[in-house]
Amino acid sequence: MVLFDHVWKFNLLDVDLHIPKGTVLGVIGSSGSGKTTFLRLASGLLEPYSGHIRICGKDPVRSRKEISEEISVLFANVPVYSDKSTVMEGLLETKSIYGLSDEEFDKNLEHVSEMLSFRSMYGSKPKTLSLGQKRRAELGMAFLRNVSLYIFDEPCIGLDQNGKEAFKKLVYEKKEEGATLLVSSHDMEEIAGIADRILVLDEGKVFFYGSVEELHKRLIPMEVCTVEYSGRCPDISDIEIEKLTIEKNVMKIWYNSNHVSSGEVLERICETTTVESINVRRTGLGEIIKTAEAGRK
Amino acid sequence: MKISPYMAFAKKSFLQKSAYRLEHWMGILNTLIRLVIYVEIYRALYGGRETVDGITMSMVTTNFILSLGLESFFVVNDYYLSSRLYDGSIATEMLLPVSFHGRMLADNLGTAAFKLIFHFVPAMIVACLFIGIQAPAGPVMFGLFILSALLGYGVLWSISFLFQMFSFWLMNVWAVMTIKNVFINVLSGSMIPLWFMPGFMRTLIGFTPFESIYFTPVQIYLGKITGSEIILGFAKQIIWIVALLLLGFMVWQKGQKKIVVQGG
Repeated sequence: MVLFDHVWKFNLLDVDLHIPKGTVLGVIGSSGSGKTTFLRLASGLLEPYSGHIRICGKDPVRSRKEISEEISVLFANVPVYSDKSTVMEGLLETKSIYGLSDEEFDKNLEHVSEMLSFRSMYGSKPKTLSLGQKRRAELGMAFLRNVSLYIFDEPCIGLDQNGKEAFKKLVYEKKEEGATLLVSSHDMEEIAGIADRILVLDEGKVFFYGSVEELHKRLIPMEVCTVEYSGRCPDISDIEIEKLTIEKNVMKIWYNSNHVSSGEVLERICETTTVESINVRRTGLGEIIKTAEAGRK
Repeated sequence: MKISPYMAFAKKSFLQKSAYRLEHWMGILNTLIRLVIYVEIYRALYGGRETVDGITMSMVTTNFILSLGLESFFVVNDYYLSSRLYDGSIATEMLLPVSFHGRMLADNLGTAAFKLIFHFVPAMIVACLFIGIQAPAGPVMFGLFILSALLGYGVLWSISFLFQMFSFWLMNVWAVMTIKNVFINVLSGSMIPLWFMPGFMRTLIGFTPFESIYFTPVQIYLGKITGSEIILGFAKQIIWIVALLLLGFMVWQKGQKKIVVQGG
């Protein structure tokens, strides 16, 4: 679906990857790591210095008009509504540009406006809306058409929790319909919640590209088990752990899931004490990236 | 090329224009005030004489009414491209499956249609009633005048299109547009009828696209040029449109390349 063949552009260095159809790709990395450049290249707004990019087998720059029917983009800080028009006028303009039928337009608009709760903004001009309201209306515009590739650069900026949930649901729906979605964000946990694959960019280089599972396994397969017990202190001395803390009746154990499974840890604890409550948590994606970056530097 | 989106762009800009009523009335007032000032200046310069160098006062008045009338609805938005480059929405525009130039033209034509009906017509009625206009040289000449006026708009739009391309390399195109508009005002005959220009200046202006905007249609209306001169006038208008658009598209390609290579 999306192919980057040894692409160099600005600070992006030798990006070489293939994103299969129907994938939700989360693009993460610190500021200036090349996330926006990556998405702009994928949309055909930038041309690589060297290497090739193919979207559905076509060059996105040379076939921009052709593939524009097949992609929907939303970039941070790029207005999609004119300040002179109302939200509805902007939506109707999109309908006319892409030749959407009345039925398709009404059905899709009804659905996205319901999900993103922006119906009340139809008659408003973008400059009169708050950042969050504007973002809802912009996402509504981006999801209005059924296309095969959606590109979102920091789509959740300004959105409240409900808005973020609505965005996630829409992403799942589009994925179910077979679309490919590229989503960049600073919020790594947010990305981890929706993406099948993660692309971690670091100073323009591909630091990691693969599934969230692989990311955990390969980078820091750390898990944290928190146990509240009522009997004697659990004896886990024969288990290989990274770190252990005990505070009152709460024991916190950090261990490498590549070496020890959660099952083994839990079994041993239950054998040696009476457990009141137990919680196993994976290290957050943000923590993983931070730790990995720190380790590398 | 799909036509319906362009009709929708034109319709939208037509309707948007109708929302600014005060601006609209001030526009009509502006046209009439300028008309009265120009006519009165020339009336004073004529000093009661009926003719100067073979040009009657009635011809001068007609020149101003037609030039300023056409100017009132010859709408070009000189900042269409620069505003999109400035706010970044050029990225959205570039990803649309419609022509950027077609969209710009449709937007301008929608506004022009509004101005034609609600600015040009009322201003002309007031001007004809209170100042007086010479009748056209004949029905055929009137038809040719309309055709030439349409081509005049084409020349004006093409000049603006070319000058807008400076936006790719300049942070602010206001100065460039102001210079362009001064040239258009002075050399197109809308401020000073070109009959009064010195011979060498007339020759020089003949080599520019400016006289094709307003002066050629006015000359045809008044019957000041006939036969082969009219054909030459039309040919010049068409050649200028083609040349300016070609040049504009060449620069557009360079500008677009700058965006995709340098990112803006």
